[in-house]
Amino acid sequence: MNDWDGDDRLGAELRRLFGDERLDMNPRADSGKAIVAGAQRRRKRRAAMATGGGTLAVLALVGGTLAVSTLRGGDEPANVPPAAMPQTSPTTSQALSSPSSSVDATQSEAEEPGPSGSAEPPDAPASPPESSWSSASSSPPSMGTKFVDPTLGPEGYRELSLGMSFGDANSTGLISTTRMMPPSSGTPCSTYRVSDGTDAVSDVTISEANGIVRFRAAEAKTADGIGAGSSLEQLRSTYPDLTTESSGYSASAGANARYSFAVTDETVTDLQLVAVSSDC
Amino acid sequence: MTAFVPAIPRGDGWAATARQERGTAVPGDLTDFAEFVEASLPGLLRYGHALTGNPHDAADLVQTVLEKIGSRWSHVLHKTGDPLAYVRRSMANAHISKWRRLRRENLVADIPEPNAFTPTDPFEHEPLWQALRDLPPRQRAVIVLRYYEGLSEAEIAESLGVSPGTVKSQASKAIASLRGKLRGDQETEGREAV
Repeated sequence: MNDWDGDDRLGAELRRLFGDERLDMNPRADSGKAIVAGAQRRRKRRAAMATGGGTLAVLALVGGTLAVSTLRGGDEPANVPPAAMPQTSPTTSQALSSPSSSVDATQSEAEEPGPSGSAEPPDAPASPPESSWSSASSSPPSMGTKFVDPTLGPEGYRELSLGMSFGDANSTGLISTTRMMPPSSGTPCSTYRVSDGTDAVSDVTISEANGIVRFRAAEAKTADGIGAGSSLEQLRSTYPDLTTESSGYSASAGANARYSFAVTDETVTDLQLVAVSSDC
Repeated sequence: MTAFVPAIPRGDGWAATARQERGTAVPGDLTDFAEFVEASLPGLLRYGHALTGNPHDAADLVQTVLEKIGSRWSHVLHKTGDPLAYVRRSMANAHISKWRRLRRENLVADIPEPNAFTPTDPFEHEPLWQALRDLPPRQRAVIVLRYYEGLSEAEIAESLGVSPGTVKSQASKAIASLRGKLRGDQETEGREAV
């Protein structure tokens, strides 16, 4: 049956709805600037990685925080000073999370037109040389250093953990409090972009009552290595306790949280860490 | 030249080397991109609102996609004669591929009753809008591309990188589901399973 034209009334209703002026949104005056700055940041990151990917990984393993602050210097918003990076001696997780930025920077480009798991549309942009659509680990840098995916663990990401208040989260310097749209008045929850110079985790949702209740991963994987790009088979074998959800699966992540995986065409397309108690 | 970088550059060395290497980071094209953003932002936000169903996701979607495209602006311009259409298609794809699909189904599921803090939805009393909200992202994108953008089935297939058959079946499901919901609302005021 041809549903497009078979129901003129529904079609007309949809056109009316999509023409409604209530769909209008007013961009904030500075949102253009924020976008251009973001584009520039991505570009710099990618450019830096194109030459120094392998070197950076080594540097990062030697002195993780130094590499990150160097990379971030000058192109981060003023409200996230590089000094916010902890200056302690590099721990394993810090060292491992920093080289990921090189992978992410190139990998994220593949996200433009073309849904995961299906044919790329003809206008898909050409990927940068070392870009890889599949798992990050499949594109080792020239020096043979092993990249490790950034991890969204059962507690959270880097210094950000589930239950952390907005104030504490903000003082880590890892989240950006500038949004294009002001938060709706009276909402108990707001979503903030994670801006640590990587594309590991894209944002966190913070509830007034429960603190951080949700992490949304971009390229980060669970501690067991499952994330966007993993196959359903890998997911199943890694988490035998999977529960089915309407658009994917979830697995418990400790007592108070669970991982949610969206799955399309047998491939994990989205990973979130969600607190069990949430009022959002 | 790119294979081995024996010395470890520090400070400005990174950016300088990179720029030389890639020939990117020309501020000129970002000026052009800034103008493009200025001009197209209201329309893109509106489109994002239709795609995602709420202003916050719309803003995030637009920002994410524009930043990515801006970072390769001259390449995009070179590649397509219609950057605006390119951006819109990227938005539809980004929305489908990873956009917040779990938020509605997981987080919202935890709060059965609306609370006092729930912001007012301007489309609260639009059954069709509410019905659209329950569509899976891909079905919703197909509907938006068709009725917001006015694209043909073939154009939608091309935009989303799927076969026309997939577009057709997604559309069928979407329309059937919308009809079912609207009918259900009219008759019983109740809900009908998707």
